[in-house]
Amino acid sequence: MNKPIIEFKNINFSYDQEDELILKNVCFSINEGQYVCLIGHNGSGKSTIAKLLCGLLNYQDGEILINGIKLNDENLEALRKDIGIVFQNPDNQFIGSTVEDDIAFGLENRCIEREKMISLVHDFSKRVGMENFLSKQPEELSGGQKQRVAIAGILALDLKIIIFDEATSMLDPQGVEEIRKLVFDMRKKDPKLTFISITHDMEEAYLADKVICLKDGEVFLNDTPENVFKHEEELKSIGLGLPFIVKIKNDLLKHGIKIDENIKNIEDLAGFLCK
Amino acid sequence: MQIKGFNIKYIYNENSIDRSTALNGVSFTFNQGDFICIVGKTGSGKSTLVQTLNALLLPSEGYVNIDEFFITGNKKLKKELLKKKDKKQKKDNKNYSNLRKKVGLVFQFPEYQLFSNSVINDVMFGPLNFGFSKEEAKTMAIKALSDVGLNENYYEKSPFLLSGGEKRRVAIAGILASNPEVIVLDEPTAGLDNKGKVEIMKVLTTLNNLGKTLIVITHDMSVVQNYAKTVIVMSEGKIVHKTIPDKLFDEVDLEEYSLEVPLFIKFKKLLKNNGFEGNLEKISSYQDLIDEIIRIKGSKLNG
Ligand SMILES: Nc1ncnc2c1ncn2[C@@H]1O[C@H](COP(=O)(O)OP(=O)(O)OP(=O)(O)O)[C@@H](O)[C@H]1O
Ligand SMILES: Nc1ncnc2c1ncn2[C@@H]1O[C@H](COP(=O)(O)OP(=O)(O)OP(=O)(O)O)[C@@H](O)[C@H]1O
Ligand SMILES: [Mg+2]
Ligand SMILES: [Mg+2]
Repeated sequence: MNKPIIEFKNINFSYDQEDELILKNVCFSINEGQYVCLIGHNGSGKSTIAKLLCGLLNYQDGEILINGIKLNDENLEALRKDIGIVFQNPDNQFIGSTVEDDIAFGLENRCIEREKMISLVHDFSKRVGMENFLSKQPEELSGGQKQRVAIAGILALDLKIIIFDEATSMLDPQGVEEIRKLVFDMRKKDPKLTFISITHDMEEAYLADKVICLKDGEVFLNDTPENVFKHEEELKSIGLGLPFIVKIKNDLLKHGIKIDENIKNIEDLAGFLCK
Repeated sequence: MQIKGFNIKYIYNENSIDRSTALNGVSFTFNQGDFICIVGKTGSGKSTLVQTLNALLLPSEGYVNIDEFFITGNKKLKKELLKKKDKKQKKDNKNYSNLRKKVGLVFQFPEYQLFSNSVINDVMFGPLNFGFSKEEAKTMAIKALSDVGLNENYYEKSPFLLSGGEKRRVAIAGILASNPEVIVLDEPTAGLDNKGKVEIMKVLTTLNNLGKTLIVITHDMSVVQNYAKTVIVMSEGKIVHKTIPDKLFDEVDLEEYSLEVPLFIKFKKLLKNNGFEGNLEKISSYQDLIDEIIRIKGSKLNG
């Protein structure tokens, strides 16, 4: 599957016409079904890209193509139906007065029939472990509970493109793992589902099909994780670290200890070092 | 200065049908100069607990004691606690505004904290509010902003039009600027890039070395490993463990609390289980571990 589903072509963007450019000549493409991580230092432009992609911000310069169609005012509504974003701050997501209404909101908007909607709300609230909170108000939830509800509201929509903007930043380690597995299962069931994750977690980025790294509003690196994380010094210069496994391998290599290229997790590495 | 919690209960919506108990009998003693990390599953009561420390939430039962302050929402208990106290102390315990000079709290979501039209005004608010002159407040704000990695380009920007990580930095600076004796931070490193995380944790460590008490809620186990002196595990509204990080990662069944060991420790355990030849017992840092692997494997390569 090498069909580009998202293409950014020479996008320049500023929030305020007079202001400096926030995005500078941004170009990249993402294929249908890919799992892409968008990384970069604070303020590098990741959330801005996500908002442009969902049509929440208008662009003036360059082109954004979704599934080959140029995103513009006329087709915005239609294209937006297939794209969902979980915001960096879940409070920006909540519209309903209860958790149940909230998860249902997107479904209602898409005119899903009532019975199906109810079953989807129950199914997805359960999948994120929030089934016992349906009648609560979103503001009555803990930070991690809010993020779980925001995630359920998007995952329930049967979308073609899903964007997580640091959607699991407040979850406990096992919660992060659970959501990762949930997304993994959905992608397995629907190989055409394109998933974009904005993250500061390099362990996650290491698992992606592709990593796009931003620096001051420009695409700095755009490659497989393996290749992106070869640039230790460049990443460090913009304040980013490496996945643990890559860091150990690099540090050992500096002392002449070469680790087999096929070793990609710490389980295998430990085995290798104990041979 | 000590912070003591005595059998604290906190119940949200106490008088309605959807009342929910978030803290269910929590007692603790934090000493001056402690660096405490609080960890635990989503919804275990961490944010609720720390909000009682500066009286944003008043315990339904039990109380927190910090110097002359007794923090409780239980009127009968409060009356009892303040019975033999002098007028000043009674007054201090009315609205707790002096308490907030002592105990600064950074919220889990920075948006809850930001309010001003510019970053500099936002950060100056604390010092101004606590009686510093405009010049003093500005100097303090600039120092705090530089500590969190924000330079003069940010001063006049609206805090609401910043990126997620930039907002968090401003929120942290807002508390640092007031220079409280106790600094409480709810997920301070969430949303920060690696450099920001390391820099801010360094600043906190420096403050701790100067004698300040640090209380940090985090889901990042490497923060616990690298910075905490004491770690507290919460579960279902209770403190279930209070220990040192090494013991937490060694002795506690973390899965039960939705936690996990940091990768460095996980890797060390894997080496041990695979029968690694080197001596892993004394290794307490990443660098030690690398050195030990090099000692074993390097000598093999060379000989
Ligand atoms: N609504 C806005 N108006 C004006 N400037 C903005 C606005 N939102 C963000 N910015 C600025 O645009 C730049 C990019 O912000 P963006 O939110 O895209 O960064 P980010 O990569 O998502 O960062 P973070 O990791 O901190 O979330 C930042 O310098 C930020 O200050
Ligand atoms: N304003 C509120 N009204 C009612 N219930 C609340 C409120 N805030 C929190 N709760 C409930 O109290 C419990 C403890 O919440 P708290 O925010 O203290 O958890 P936490 O440990 O900080 O979790 P997280 O790691 O997800 O931030 C949760 O079950 C939550 O649903
Ligand atoms: Mg962002
Ligand atoms: Mg919390």
